[in-house]
Amino acid sequence: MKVITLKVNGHCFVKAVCPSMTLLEFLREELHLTGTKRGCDVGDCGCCTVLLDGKPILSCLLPVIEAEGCEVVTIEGISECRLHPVQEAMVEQGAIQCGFCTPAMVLNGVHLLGTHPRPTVDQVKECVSGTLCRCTGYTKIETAFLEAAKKMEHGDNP
Amino acid sequence: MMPSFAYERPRSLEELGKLLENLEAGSFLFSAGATDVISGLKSHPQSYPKTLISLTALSELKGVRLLEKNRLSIGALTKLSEIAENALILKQAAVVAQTAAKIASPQIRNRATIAGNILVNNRCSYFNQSRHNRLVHQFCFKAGGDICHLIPAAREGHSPLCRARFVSDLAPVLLLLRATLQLWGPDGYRKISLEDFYTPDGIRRNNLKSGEIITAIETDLSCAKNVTYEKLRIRNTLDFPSVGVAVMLNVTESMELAVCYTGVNTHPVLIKLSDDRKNGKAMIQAACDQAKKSAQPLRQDHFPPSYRKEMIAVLIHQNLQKLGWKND
Ligand SMILES: Cc1cc2nc3c(=O)[nH]c(=O)nc-3n(C[C@H](O)[C@H](O)[C@H](O)COP(=O)(O)OP(=O)(O)OC[C@H]3O[C@@H](n4cnc5c(N)ncnc54)[C@H](O)[C@@H]3O)c2cc1C
Ligand code: SF4
Repeated sequence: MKVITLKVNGHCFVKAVCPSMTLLEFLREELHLTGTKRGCDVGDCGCCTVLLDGKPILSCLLPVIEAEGCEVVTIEGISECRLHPVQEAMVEQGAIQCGFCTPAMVLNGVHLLGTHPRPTVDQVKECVSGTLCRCTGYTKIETAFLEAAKKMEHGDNP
Repeated sequence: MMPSFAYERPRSLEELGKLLENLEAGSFLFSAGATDVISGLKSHPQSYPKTLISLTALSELKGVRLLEKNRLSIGALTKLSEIAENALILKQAAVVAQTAAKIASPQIRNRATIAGNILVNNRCSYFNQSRHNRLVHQFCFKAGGDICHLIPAAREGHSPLCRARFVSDLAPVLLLLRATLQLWGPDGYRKISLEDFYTPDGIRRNNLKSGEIITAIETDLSCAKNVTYEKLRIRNTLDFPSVGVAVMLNVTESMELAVCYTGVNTHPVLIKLSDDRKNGKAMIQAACDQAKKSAQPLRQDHFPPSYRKEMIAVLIHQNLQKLGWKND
């Protein structure tokens, strides 16, 4: 066991962890943040996406010990009290069906709009390209991100 | 959860050297972005190391710089997403940035490193399977067993014993940029050209010695603008290359053509041709013929072997078109 310090959704945690524990297992089993989903567990589906120091990464492929000193944001941490404009737009556009990929999609969208406030359609497609959605066919998710960009441009910020 | 292993994160090469003195060869595994290491360990529980050594704190392995004599050095730990956006690389060797941008997915590129990519494990449809599948079937040679499911006739002494295919997208591009690897090991520093680095053995894969690490990859920029890369895969994301082809075309007093393909054989295959008379058409035909002759695709991919073999020539021509070559 090794003791590590990391920040998750703004809170600092000091925990003893086993080196073979992934960040995904740490989030779900130690912190009970079950919004981050375990899909394929080997990097193919993207459902376990979280933001590590602001960038989307796959938590199933990262030993939690490698996140020492980093800042992690999960779906539970993107906004307080109300839905994030990306979430709102996903609901309005019918971009959620079974919901399994949704946390990952939302985090990808939040990152995209943080770095590209006015994304092109190609940038949106690139942004969703690492996360599988078996229900929506992606079109509605893409529309939702573009709509969320408009909302945020008009001052609707989380 | 994966079975436990010890974990070390040396802060300098000196610290790494001391650590290695006390570890037996084969008992440890290096990791950088860990994307290939962790997905491999999850499906191959028998391959657990006693110690995982993370290289991520070694500042000697970081940074992208221009060197003398028109060469570029890319630190081993440089992430694929950083390569895709690095201003120096985009200016001096855009093909490296463009190729990195087409690897895996955005999330993976935010962790995966350049050294990890050129060292990525070879793949085979019998090897890259879920843990459950692997536990039901007998372990093959690559997994430490004594059978090959792909070529059942393969036995000890068969060369190569394992035909798992090489899949790195960056390796063929770097090979055409005449890359050299800067290595550090318990015996000190050494250099090796990427051309001499890979072996045809799907298990051993390369000439890295135990305890040796890549510190940087140096490329020659003199022909970087004359190199392009094209790959075939089912989806435009996530999929490993079913075939990937890099082409270098340089027309001066003579004509130089080099082709390197990945995703087919156990190692990247490099073909170099030059012609003083600049008979382009004949050279291109010769390159396609040599590629076809050397390619040994097997049933390890969604696309049938014969199709992948034919596609090498198609991708050579697509690259040549991008490079401005006109057939007559
Ligand atoms: C879903 C998925 C899709 C992918 N698609 C593609 C694709 O389309 N094209 C492609 O080319 N690749 C693809 N990859 C592979 C990906 O590029 C590699 O996993 C990644 O580049 C490995 O880098 P890493 O830093 O994570 O390496 P790690 O996983 O940390 O290490 C990989 C190997 O390199 C060794 N290693 C790493 N750094 C060093 C060093 N400095 N010195 C010595 N040894 C070292 C490790 O010991 C290990 O053997 C894909 C991977 C996944 C999971
Ligand atoms: S080719 Fe290699 S990986 Fe594939 S089944 Fe044979 S031994 Fe295993």
